[in-house]
Amino acid sequence: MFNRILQLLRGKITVRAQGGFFERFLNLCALNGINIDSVCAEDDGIVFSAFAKDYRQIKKAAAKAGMETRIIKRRGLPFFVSAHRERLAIICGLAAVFLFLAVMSGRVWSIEVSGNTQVFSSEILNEAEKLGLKEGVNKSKLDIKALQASLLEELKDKIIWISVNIEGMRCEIQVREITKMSDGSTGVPCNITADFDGTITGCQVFSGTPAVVKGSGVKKGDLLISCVVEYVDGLTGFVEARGKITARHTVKTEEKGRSNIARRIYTGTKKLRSVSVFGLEIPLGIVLKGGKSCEVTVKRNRAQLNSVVLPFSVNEYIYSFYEEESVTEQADYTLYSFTQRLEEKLKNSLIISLRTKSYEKNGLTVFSAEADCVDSIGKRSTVGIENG
Amino acid sequence: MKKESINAKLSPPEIHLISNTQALVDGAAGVLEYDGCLVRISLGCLIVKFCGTGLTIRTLSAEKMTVAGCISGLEFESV
Repeated sequence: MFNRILQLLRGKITVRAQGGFFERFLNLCALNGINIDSVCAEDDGIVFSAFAKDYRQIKKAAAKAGMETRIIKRRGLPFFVSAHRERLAIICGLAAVFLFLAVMSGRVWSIEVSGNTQVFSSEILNEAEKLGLKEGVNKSKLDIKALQASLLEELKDKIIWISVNIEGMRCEIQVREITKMSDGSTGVPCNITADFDGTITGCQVFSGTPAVVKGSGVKKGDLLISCVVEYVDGLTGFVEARGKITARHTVKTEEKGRSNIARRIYTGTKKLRSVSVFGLEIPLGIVLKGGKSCEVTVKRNRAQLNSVVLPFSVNEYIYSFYEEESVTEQADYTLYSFTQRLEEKLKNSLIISLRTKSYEKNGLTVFSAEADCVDSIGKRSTVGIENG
Repeated sequence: MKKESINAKLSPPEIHLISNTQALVDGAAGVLEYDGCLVRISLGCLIVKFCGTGLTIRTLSAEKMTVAGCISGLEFESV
């Protein structure tokens, strides 16, 4: 097979030699080191094959043997090129396309992430890029097992399983995220007690015996749902107390005004677009360097075809310039920020009313707040049960 | 190169037959007669004659030759 390809690359001819003494011609060819093959006898001569470059020597040998030669068939690359000399550009183009495909098919051009709902794809892609998996990387240089292990190590707080699959020029990163159980049910008998002082506003018992009713006042540590249950036949048993009990309570908090706070004053933004083709990024403007006083955010718009990501993207870099200055919080600003921080702190609570006030103490502004809110009050409390 | 050719001249010619379809002749000194039914090859001290039908010389170089076709007979003649 390899010999045949080599023969076609060098160019092969089929020659008919007539008249004279062909035995002498064959011997002359052998003596002069001319390789001929597939010699077939005909009525008045022979037909044989030889390399195109040897034809001049063949002609000389034939003349010495008194024979006349005539090429009856030409095949191979040199003849193909000379026959299509006018279409050389097309041939070169085709060769370039095949070369391009051969080179490009050995690389990864599309990376997709699937199976994530809470972790951003960009976060996973950034981690993968740090570990060497990025657009345009040579597939043969990737150690998939090591990459999977490193990615899992980097994202172990969020991801429990990861798989990197390369199919053709496409790479798919499949992940399974860590999901927390909706309730911490264990099946072990336990009570539910109050976590803080308050007034019961709602009581839903799933298992166990309720010890409070709506409107009851409770103190921290009071029993809310008991694990002891009495069955209709008079027997008693122990279960894991489960339920949802909410209570109204007052949250008091105090905060002193802060001084010398580093605050960023944004002075302006500048946008720069760039086009990324096969991993090569071409900026469409002057590239700015992000420094200490500049934040850079990147938005990538990737081209897609039938939901397959293509190796083309339009990127938008947004440079936000700022100046940092040390400031002392203004009273109204501080109160506003204090309220915001408080709301953030009580984000899981239902705030019914919020009262804030500020006063001077030792030269510093003190902010205090009282928030009436409704929260889940129940806390699991294990019980010791003696056997028998 | 000279040494090799001396060795080739000193070593006796070899003929390998593959069934009755192909014969590899090592140490051939030249083709004496050739047509579709007969090939006579000089081996220096001997002449070998292949008889058959559809005989072709598949390869031909300075000392090696391959005769292919349906070989029905093989004869040796002294020079």
